Amino acid sequence: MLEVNGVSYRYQNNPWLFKQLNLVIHPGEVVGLYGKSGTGKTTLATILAGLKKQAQGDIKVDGNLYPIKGFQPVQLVWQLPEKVVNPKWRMEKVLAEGGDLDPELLTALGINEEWLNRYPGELSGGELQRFCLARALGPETRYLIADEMTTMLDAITQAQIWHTVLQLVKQRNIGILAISHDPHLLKRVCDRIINFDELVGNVY
Amino acid sequence: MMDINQVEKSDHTLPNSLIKDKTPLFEVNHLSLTFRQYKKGLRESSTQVIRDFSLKIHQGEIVAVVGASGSGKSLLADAILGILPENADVKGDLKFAGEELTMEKQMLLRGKDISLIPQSTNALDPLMKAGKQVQSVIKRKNKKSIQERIFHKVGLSKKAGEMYPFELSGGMARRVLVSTAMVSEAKLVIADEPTPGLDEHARNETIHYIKQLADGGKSIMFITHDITAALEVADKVAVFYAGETVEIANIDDFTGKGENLRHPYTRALWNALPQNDFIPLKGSQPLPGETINGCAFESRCPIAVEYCAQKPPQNKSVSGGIVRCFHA
Repeated sequence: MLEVNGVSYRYQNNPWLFKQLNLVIHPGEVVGLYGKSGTGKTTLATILAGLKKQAQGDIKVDGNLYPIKGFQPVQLVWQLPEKVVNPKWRMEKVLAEGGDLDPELLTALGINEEWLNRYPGELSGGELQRFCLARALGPETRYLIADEMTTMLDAITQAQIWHTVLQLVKQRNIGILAISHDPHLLKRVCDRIINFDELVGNVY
Repeated sequence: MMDINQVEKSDHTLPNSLIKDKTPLFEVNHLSLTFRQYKKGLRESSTQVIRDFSLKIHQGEIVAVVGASGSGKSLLADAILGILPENADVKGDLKFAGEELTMEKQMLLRGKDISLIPQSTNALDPLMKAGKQVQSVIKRKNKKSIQERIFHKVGLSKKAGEMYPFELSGGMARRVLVSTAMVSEAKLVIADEPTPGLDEHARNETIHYIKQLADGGKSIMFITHDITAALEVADKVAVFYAGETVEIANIDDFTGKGENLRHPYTRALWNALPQNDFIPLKGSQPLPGETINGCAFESRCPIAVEYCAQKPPQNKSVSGGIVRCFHA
């Protein structure tokens, strides 16, 4: 279980971005999250991935309190894949950041072996996003935060990626927090959908 | 600067000629774009990014160009504005107001008769106040009052005009970019992916502004991968696949299971939407530079037959639209 208890955050001396936020995600569950721009959804995503530290409250993943030592079992997939891969590395090296990856995972994500030799600039956005997913879905990953994962992709690629992800998380019992502005997409892929405004100060 | 007179002259002759013979304001025929690159040492290679693109836009019309990321959509905008890097070879006819759009003409018209709403709000000058940036486009007197009136129209306060780009939120920066297009004298506005990543409210607003631009008589080329957004504002949709226009469809054709659509790719795109059937078509589009002898969509097409892989289909008119498919 991924448990967020009374987490608050603010940037330096600015007013609180969100206060007393509570959220629970179970393994194998897909939770949708939507809300206005600038309310702190991406900030929450980075906190859950262990990239930022909350100012108040605590987070537990499968009973372990943050900060996590060693491999971070909550992994984040960003909106813009081209901004989160080293442009000067071949894809093989980019993938190696995720640890020892199962070759079957690459096949499931539709990653062509030939692409491993390419640089990020030689792949399309959809292809790059598959690599980012593969990198995030290492063997120890328990939860995935998909922050506008397919917003920049066309409808066909979006459907391809979500179908694969849903299949994988079922197999491996991974929990997902899907952040998106598209209500149709959330309705299609999620078990339950939450409005970000309602998270604050409530228990879910 | 010395060419301003020339621009103004063409301004006066434009509307009449348009009304008379319904010449499209902007026309592209068989546009292709190739990049020359050095591989190892001095060995040169060329990569074709756009193979065959044709499109017509009439005055006051919104034409959406819809295609996958990496299909060369944004390069299309650059090709029209003539701001591609030196190693790009552009072939094909571009016509603006019935006249050939040469390199010299592009230089003259861009930012004046043809304007761009860029994809990224990074395009704003970080060292100039938002209001000043919009004023710099206005060629008449009373720049400040014009700018304030436009800001009011798009829902920006007077205070926003005194702010630097870093002080604006993403949505506000987007509105500043749109105001720039609104105050300009441009007849053709190219909007490059203006909607993704915006929340529903900001997205609907942006779409509304684009509609306002068209209602004011401007022609819009709306480049997007978001087919839902395209269907909300556009008069026509040009579907772009692997560097080619595979179909030009009317808005009403997008209904049901896509029975009225002419090209199998357009149909697959429509049926992949989460609000429709969310069907993932297998495979990915050919990469730029891959040699394609037949139809670009053949490898993924559910209705392809042997000859589809052998020779490329040509454009043909079918029930009020244009399609590049043997089976239509």
